[in-house]
Amino acid sequence: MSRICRLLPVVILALSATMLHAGPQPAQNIDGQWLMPAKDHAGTRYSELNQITAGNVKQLQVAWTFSTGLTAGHEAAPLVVNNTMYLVTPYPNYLYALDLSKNGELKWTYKPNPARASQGVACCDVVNRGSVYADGKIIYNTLDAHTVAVDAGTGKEMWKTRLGDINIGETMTMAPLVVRDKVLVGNSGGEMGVRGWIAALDVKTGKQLWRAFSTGPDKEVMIGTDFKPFYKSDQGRDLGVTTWPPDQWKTGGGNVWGWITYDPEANLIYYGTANPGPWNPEQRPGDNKWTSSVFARNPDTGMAKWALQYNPHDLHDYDGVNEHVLVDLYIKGKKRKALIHPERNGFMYVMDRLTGELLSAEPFVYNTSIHHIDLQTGKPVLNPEKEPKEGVKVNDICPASPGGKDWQPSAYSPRTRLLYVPHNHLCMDVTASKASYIAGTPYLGMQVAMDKGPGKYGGLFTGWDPVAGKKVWDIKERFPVWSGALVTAADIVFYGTMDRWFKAVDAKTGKELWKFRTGSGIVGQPITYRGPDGRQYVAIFGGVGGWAGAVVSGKLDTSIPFGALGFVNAMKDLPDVTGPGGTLYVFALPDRQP
Amino acid sequence: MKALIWHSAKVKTVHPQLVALLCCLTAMFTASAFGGTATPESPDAKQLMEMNVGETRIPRTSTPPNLRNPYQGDPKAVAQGQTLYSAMNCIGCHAPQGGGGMGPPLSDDVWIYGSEPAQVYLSIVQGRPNGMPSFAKALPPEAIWQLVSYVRSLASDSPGQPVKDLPKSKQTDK
Repeated sequence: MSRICRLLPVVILALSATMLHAGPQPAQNIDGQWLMPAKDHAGTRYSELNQITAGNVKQLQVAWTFSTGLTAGHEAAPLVVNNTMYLVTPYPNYLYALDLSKNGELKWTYKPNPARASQGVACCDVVNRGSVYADGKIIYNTLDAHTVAVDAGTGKEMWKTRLGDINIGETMTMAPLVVRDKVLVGNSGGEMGVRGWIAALDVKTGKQLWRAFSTGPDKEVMIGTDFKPFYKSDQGRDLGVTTWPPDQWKTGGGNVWGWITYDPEANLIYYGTANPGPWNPEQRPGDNKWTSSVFARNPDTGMAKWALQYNPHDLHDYDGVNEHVLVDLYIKGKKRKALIHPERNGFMYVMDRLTGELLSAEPFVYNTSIHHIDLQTGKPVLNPEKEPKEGVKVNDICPASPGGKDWQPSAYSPRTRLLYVPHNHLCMDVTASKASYIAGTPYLGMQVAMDKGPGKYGGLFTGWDPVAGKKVWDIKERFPVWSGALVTAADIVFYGTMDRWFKAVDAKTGKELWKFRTGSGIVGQPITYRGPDGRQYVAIFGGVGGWAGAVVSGKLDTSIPFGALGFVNAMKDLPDVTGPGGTLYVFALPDRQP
Repeated sequence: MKALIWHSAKVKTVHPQLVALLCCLTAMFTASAFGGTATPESPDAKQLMEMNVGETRIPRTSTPPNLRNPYQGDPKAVAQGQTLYSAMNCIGCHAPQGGGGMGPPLSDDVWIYGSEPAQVYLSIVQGRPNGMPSFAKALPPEAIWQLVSYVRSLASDSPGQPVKDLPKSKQTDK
């Protein structure tokens, strides 16, 4: 590499830092809009709006609602741009534009017409986790593995790029992230032996600029000379090939269906990769890199800077796709450029986001499968009794496959310095069996039956101190808390429950301040915005579903424990408390409120 | 011989593991399942064409065919069907015991495309538009009938045992 090339990143870094001036700390963006599901590139879901306070939140009332007429899980975050709200639905992935200056009047609907058959290869309900606004466009993924860009003003399709093939079980459900002129997207399909990847598309044209796979040779994983993983076990050549039995990396999973965050100062993106395939670990001796891992990459070149494998040779479908929230923390008196990652394996990882060094990893849920995380090696120390074996039933593995926490995103407040974590309290019994790879069909080899954890409740909402490495408060919920979290400058946290409550709690104490009974259970992501009238609004999709809610949205048989990859057994009582059906709820204080 | 024909007709997208699996299955059919009994033929195409997928039809002089599963009442076929249900990854979408997941449950009384043996046969052979893949090139008629035997048993009071009649579907709003 020439000297100029070597200097280039530094120049870009300096430029981006001055142009965006949005450090990894929550952007001081108080224009009242909501341009991406996580609010900012750091993934904080923190809003500066503060009209709704602990003193008046009790007066929140419905301003308007909007029905989608769909019965699958509604996991998407609404966007608010230029007094327009944008909603992406589950399959068939409609995009609605609603005029906020006219109380939510429908402006237009865009229909991407995804292939019907894509519904049959989506592992865990036909969900979509949202869109992103950039360059005058609303950009999102369709279940049949396309990325589309729609003119935010007119609803006209600007470009549509096919990225995957549903015939091998490849779908897309994640929300893209835009970094400058690049749209970053990834695939789903870890239950079908689909090889995972992340891709960058040109925001203007949709043309693919680079694609980095999660398994295979370094060239295809986009690992080069700049790659400096912190831990020894993550160092070496072509680990994406050598940590697998011959050729199995080709059907090895490691999909990128979760959240991507971005640090403009370091010019690095952060994202996790999903479980290896098949689930049966006996069929894939080795670490199975780079599944269940985190990557830091340069978004311009796609090249990896560092990686850490959270769960080498994953035993329990512990995907690594959960959010990496980028915040600067004072740890042992020293300011660290950190990332916080509530890992599916039940431990809260706090890392140096520039080097990948693990600073702490404390358990945030009941755990029987992992003793602790070794900070010297970066690896979990496993309980050997919980390792699945073919033909043997292994009981009481906690957390269960959906993890201590699944996709449901946390929020971080720079005021309270707490992370607000919606999560699960689940255990499982499993029996492994031989899986055969047939393209486009599930590649599992595991019979699973989950149950609610000790105390017989399914979920928790936790206020977590990432510096002290411990919980400050938590709220027990009957079902997994499968909705995202939102925190505001008035120190109020919002989240929803699968048993039809939308709640506001005190960010410092967890004390419940207000709740509202919705039509169907909540698995969406709350947002807040300032309306054209200057008032603060809060919006959330109701409409139960997703993996946890598939028992309702898919009308599964509650008498058999193994449905929905074993989740049904923990959710048998969900149909008793909610039906399906998507409705957006928008709340505000009464009109006369200042 | 039939088995050999469908095997050799495999297309190149098939993974080597599947070929190996199919070879095993071929051996299985020829060795055990059909020992002593005649090999069931592919159902008559004309009869299949007259099979209603839904409940309604334009009145006509002849009644729809009552296509029998050649393995009706045969517990061995149900057991073979159960093996296939795992081996062909039906189990991944429809779950062990048919509880459902990525695909609809098979254990309840809702049959979107009909519960008659020939209707279930057609669903497996042709695939269905919401994501059920076609297994026409992956399995011979014998194996599909065995799957029909097992799948229908899941909705009965005695799963895993041969079943003759199932109640008509109660609702089809899936």
